Amino acid sequence: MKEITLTIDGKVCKGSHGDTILTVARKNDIYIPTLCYLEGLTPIGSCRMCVVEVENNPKLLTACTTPAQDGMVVHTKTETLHNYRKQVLELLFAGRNHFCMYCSQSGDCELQRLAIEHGMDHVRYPFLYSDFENDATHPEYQVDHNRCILCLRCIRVCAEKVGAHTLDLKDRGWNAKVISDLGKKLGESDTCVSCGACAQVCPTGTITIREFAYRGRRSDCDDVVESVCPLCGVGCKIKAYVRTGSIVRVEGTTTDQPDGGQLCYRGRLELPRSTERDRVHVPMIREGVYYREATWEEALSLIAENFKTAKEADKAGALVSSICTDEELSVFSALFKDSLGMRRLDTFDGDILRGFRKGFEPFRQQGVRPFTAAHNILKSDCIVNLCADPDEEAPVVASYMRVAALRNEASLINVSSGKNPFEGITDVDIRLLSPCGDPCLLDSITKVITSLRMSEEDLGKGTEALNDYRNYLEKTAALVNMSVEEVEQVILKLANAKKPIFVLGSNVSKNPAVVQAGVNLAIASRAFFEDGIGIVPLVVSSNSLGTVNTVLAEEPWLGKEDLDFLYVFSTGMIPEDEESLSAISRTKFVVVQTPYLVHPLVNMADVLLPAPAWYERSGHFCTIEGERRRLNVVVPPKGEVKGLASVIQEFASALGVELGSPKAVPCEQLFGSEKAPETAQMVELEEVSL
Amino acid sequence: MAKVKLATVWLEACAGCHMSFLDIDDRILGLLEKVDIMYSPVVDAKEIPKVDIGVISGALGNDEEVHLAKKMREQCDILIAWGDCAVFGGINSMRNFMPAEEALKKAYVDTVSTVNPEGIIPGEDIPQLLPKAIPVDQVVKVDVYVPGCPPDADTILWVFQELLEGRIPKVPAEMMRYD
Amino acid sequence: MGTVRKIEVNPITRIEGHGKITVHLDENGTVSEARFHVTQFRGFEAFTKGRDFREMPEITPRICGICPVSHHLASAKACDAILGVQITPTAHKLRELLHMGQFVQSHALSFFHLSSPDLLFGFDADPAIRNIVGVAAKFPEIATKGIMLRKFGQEIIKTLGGKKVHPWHSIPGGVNRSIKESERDSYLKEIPTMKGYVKDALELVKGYLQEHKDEVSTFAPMKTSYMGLVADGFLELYDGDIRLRGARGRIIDEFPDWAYADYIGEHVEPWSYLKFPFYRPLGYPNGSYRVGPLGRLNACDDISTPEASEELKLYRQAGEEGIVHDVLYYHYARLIEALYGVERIEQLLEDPDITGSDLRITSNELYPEGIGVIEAPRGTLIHHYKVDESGAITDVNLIVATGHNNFAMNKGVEAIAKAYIKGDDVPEGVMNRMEHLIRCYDPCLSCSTHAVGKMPLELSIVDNSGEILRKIYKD
Repeated sequence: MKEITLTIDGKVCKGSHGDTILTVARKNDIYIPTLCYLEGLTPIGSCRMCVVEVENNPKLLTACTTPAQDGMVVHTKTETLHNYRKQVLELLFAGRNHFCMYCSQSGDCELQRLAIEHGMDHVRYPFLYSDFENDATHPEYQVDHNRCILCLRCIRVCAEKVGAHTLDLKDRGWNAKVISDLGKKLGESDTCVSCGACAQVCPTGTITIREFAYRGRRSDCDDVVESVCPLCGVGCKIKAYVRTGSIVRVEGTTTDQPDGGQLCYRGRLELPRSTERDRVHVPMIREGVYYREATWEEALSLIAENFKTAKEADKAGALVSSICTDEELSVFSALFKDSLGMRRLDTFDGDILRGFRKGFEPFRQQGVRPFTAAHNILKSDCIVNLCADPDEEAPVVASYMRVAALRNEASLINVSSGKNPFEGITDVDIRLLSPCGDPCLLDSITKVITSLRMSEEDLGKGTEALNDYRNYLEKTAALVNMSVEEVEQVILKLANAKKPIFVLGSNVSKNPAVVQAGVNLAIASRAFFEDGIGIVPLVVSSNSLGTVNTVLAEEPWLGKEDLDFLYVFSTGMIPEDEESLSAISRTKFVVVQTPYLVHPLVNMADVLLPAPAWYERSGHFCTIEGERRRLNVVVPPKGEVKGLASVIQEFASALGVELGSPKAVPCEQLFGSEKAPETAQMVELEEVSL
Repeated sequence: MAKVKLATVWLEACAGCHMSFLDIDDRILGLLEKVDIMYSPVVDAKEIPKVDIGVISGALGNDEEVHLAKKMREQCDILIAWGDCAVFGGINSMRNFMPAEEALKKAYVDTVSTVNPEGIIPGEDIPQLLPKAIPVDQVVKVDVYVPGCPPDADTILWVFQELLEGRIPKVPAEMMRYD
Repeated sequence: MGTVRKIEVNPITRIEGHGKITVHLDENGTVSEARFHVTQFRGFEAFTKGRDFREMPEITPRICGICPVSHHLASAKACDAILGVQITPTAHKLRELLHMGQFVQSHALSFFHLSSPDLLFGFDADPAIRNIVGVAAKFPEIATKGIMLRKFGQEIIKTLGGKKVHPWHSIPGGVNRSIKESERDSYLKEIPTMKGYVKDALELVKGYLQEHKDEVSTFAPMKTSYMGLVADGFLELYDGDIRLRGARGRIIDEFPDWAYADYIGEHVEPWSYLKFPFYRPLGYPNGSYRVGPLGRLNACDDISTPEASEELKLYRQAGEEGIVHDVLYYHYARLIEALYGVERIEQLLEDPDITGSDLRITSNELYPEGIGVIEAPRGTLIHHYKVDESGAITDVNLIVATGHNNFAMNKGVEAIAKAYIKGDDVPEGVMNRMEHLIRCYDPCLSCSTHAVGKMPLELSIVDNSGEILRKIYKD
C-alpha cells in the first residue's frame, strides 16, 4: 500500500493510500470527535461531528468519509470547528426530546459526553417538542425515538453485521425515523432476531435493553472482564461488567472484530440472568424427598463408598457437561480414565460429537483439519446450509450467513427437510426427506462436480467425464425431485464458486456418512481456507470440540444398561435431554454436581454438590471460531463453592487413588493442521452406492 | 465589604436543586458570611428587592411562573438558571406532547382512586397552565447556566464562589452533568 | 352564599409546588372558610404513559427532590409487583437502608433547618433571625448537628445510589449495587454520634413542649383518624399493611397495600391542584385522616428498635386514650422516627446479608398491574401502575404523602383564621402561625422558604367580584 504523508494539527502524519483523514488521525493519536462513525461499519458522515478544515479547501470536510491525500494540511481543533460542532450538538438536543435525567444511558451516552465536552450548558435554539413515540413493543428492547440522533449505527450494524436488515429509515429531515421491516414496531417485526446489536452500538439512550437498564453505568462498575460465552459452539467473546459482585451487563466486543462484536439474544440476555438463578450453596444428601446439608467430607465419603461397590461390579459411570474448560476436562479424564480405568465417561452431547468425529476421522488421518473458523463464512461466495438451523443452533453463524448472502452477494443453498431457515434469501432450496441429510445426494453432487472438473481440465477423458457428468446430474435430479436444468444451476454455482463453505447442523452427525460426504463435497468443490477445509460443524457448546480428545466415549454407553453409580456434572446452562435424564433416573446412586438448582436434574440426585458457575471459573474453550478462547473468572466463587479441580482431587483422595497429571491437551491436537487443506483427498463412502 | 445580595426562586420543579444546594453542608456557614439570602424562594414580585444575584430553578409551566421569572430578571444583575428544568425545561416538558387539558383530566378525573363524579378540573384561584413547560431563557435572558438534575452541590458552590470573585462563571466539562 | 370577601395569603408554601391561602369572610367580616391552595400541577400521571415500567423508578423521583428516595422505592415496589417477584433478603435490606438514610436526612432537615428556628426563637421573633442562619449565629452547635445528621443520611444515599438527590439504586426485582465492607464500617463508626444528635434534639423539643403547654394544646386543635404502615403492629416504613386508627384509638381497618383503591378515594376541589384523600367507607370529608410521623406513631402499637420504643412510651403520655392529636407533636414524633432510623441503620449494617451479591431476581412474566406503597417521611405514598403485555405503562395513579394531610391542613388554617381574624383586622403573628401549622405537616417545599431567609406573605382582601380591596404584607 502506498504510503502518504499529511500534516494534521501541525504534526506530520503517515498513512496509507485509501485511508480517510479520520483513519490517519487515529493512527497518529490525534483525537477527532465522532458520533455516527463506528470502526467496522460503513462511514456515512451524517452527524458532522468529525468535520475538519483542510487548507485550500473552503468547505468543512467530514474526516470519516474524506480520503486523505498526500500533502494535505488538516486542522481539527480550530475555533470555527468547535463552534460548528457545538451548534450541531445543540440542534440535536433541540430537535428531539432527550430527557437525560432519567435516561438509563446517561453517563454512558456518547451524545451527552460530546455535549459536555463542548461546553453545552444550554441550548440556544427553541426546542421543537415534536411528539416522537416510545416503542416499547419488543419484550427485551425499547426504542425511544425521542432520543434518536439518526446516526444510523443501528441500521448499519443490523444490515452489515447481523444481516437481518430489520431496521431502516422512514421520512426525511427532522421527522426521519428508524423503523422495523416496512414501518412496523420492533416488537412486531418478523425479521428481528433480538440479538441486541443495535442496542450495543446506539450512542444514546434510543435503543436500550429494558431489563438491564439502570443496573449501573459502565463507569459505576468495579470491573470489566473479557471472557467467552459458553452457550453454543461459536464461543463469542464477551465483556462482562461487574458491580459489587454482580454481573450487570454483558456486551460483545467491537464492530471492527471479525464477528462484528455481535452476541445473540442468548449471550446478551441469558448470561447476566444466569447470575440471578438459585444456587446450590453447600453439599447436600438426600433424605426421602428432602435434602439435608452435609459437610464435604461426609458427602465425599458417601460418594466414595457407593462408587467403590459400583466400580467393582462394573456399574459406574460419569457424565460431564461439554461447557467445561479444557483444563477441567483434562482433570476429569485423568481421574476417571487414567487413574480409575473407567470406560464409562462421556458428555451430554456425546452422540453428536461421535458422529462428527467419525465423519472427520479419515481426513484428520491425512493431517488436514476438516473444518474452518466460522467467521470464514464471510469470506465465502457460496454457502451450503446442510440440515442446520443456525438461528437456533448458533445464531451468530446465521448472521454470518445472512451477511454473506445479502451483502457479499454469496450464493446461499439450503439443503434440509424442515422449514428453510433462510427463506427469502436462498438461491436454491433443496428439500430432503430425512432431517439428518442424505449421503447419496451429497455423494452424487460430489461426483457431478468431480466429473465436471475432469471434463474442464480435459485430462484426456473429457468426453467420458462429460458423460459421467450428465449421468450423475440426472441421478441427482431424481433424488431431489427437481429438473435436470435446475440441478445443473446448483452444481454450476458450487463448481464456479471460489471459496464455498458448508455449514453442518448437529442433526447431520446422526449419520457420520453424511459428515464424510459433506467433507468430500467440500474437497470436490475446492472449499479450502487457510486453516482447513470449508466446513463449519455446529456443535452444541463452547467446548464441545474440547471433549473429543478427553471425556468423549468411543461408543455410547448411557442408557444401554442400568448403572449403580453415576457422577453427573452439569453447568446448568443448557437443559439436559430427555434420554440422558431417563438414564440418570434409572441409576441406583446419582451424584449431581451443579452450580444451579437445575430441575429436573437435581431431583435425581442422591448427593448434590455445589459447583462454580461459568462466571466463577477459568480456562480455555475450543470454539468453532477455530480459536482456543480464554474463559476468565468474572466474579470469584463464594462460600462452599470449590473449583472443579480441587473437588476432583478430593474425590480421588476419598477413593484412595493417585491423580496423575492430565495427559490430554484437547485443543492443540484438534486445531493442528499438518498439511495444507488443498492436499486433502476424498474418501470412499462405505454405505453409499448409487 | 458589603455582602452580596441573593434571591432564589423555584418554579416548576421538584426542589431537588435547592436540596443539592443544602448538600454543601457546613460550607453554607462560610458562604453566608459573604452572602445575604434575601428571598428564597421569592413569593411575590413586588416583594423582590434589588439583588445582585438571582437564581431560578424550575421551568415555566404556568402564568404565575412566567410573571415571577420576569420580575426576577428585572430585580437582579446576574441571573442564574439552576438545574435541567430551568436550563432545558426538564422533566416537566414531558407534558408538552399532549394538551394541558388532557393531562389535567387524567390526573383529576380518570385515576382509579379519584372520586369526582362531576368531573371538576381545578382552576379556581390558582394559576393557569401554559400550553407547554419551557426553559427560563425562552422568556428572560439568563447569564449563568448550571445544568444537572440536580447540579452537584460542589458545582453550585463553585458558581457562587466565582461570582463572589467577580467572574461570570461557565460550568466546566468536569463539573457539568445533565442527569 | 354569605361570602363576600376573600383574604389571600399568597403564596404560603410550596408543596411539591406552590401553595397559597385564601380566607373567606362573610358579610359580618367573620371567617367563613379558609382554603389552602396547591397551585402547581405537573402531570406525571399523564405523561408517563407509554414508558417502559422499568423507567418509573427514575422518572417518578422527579416529583419531589426532598424525598426522591420515597418515590424511587414506592415505584420499585410497584415494579416488583408487575414482575411478580419477591426480592432477595439482600436487596430488601439495601432498599431499607437507602430508605432509612432518607428518613434521617429528611427528618433532620425538617427539624433542624426548618422548625428549630420557630422553637428556639418563638413564633413572634424577628423573621430576620428566625431561620437556620439565625440558629447558626446564636446556637451554632445545634445548627452543626442538624447539618451533620442530614449529611449522614445523604451520604448513605449517595453511597448506594451514586448521588444524594435522585439516586439510582432500586430496579424492578431488586437493587443495582450492594454496600462494600469498607463503606459499611465507616457508617457504623458514626452511629453513636448520630444517635447523640437525635437525642439532643429530642431534649430540645421535649423542653419546648413542656414550656409551651398552653400554646401546644390550643394550636389548631383537631382530632382525626390516623394512617400508617404496620408490620405485626410495629411501626414499619418500607413494607407493611396499611392501618387506619380512629380518633378514639380503635383500629378501624387494616388492609394490604395492594387493596388500597378499595379503601382510599380522592376528592377533587376546583381551587387546589392537590386532591383530598379519604377513607372510602366513611366518605368525604368524614373519612379524612392524618399521616406522617404523628399519624404513624398513632397507628402503630410499638416500635421494633429499643431506644425509639422507650421514647414512644414517654411520648404517648401526652396523649388522650393513647392517641396524640396536637399538631406541634409532629416535631416530637418526627425525631422519634429519626432515632428509629439511626437504630435501624445500625441493625441493617450489622446484618451479614447487607454486603451480599444476590441483588436482583427476574421473571419471564409480567402482571398487568403493580402497586407499591411505602411510608415517605411525610406519610403514606402510593404508586399504582398498569402495563400492557410488553411492559409499557398504560395507566398511573399516584397518591402522594402530603395529599393525605390536605384536609387537615385546610381545617388547621381555617381554625387559626377563625381564632385570629375578624374583618380586615389581621393581627401580627397570624401569618406566622399559619406558616408554622403548614410546616408541622412538613409539606416538601415550605422547607427552603424557611431554611434561608424569611417567608413574606401577602394577604389580599378581595370582594366577591375579585377586586382587591386591601393588601397586607408581612416581611
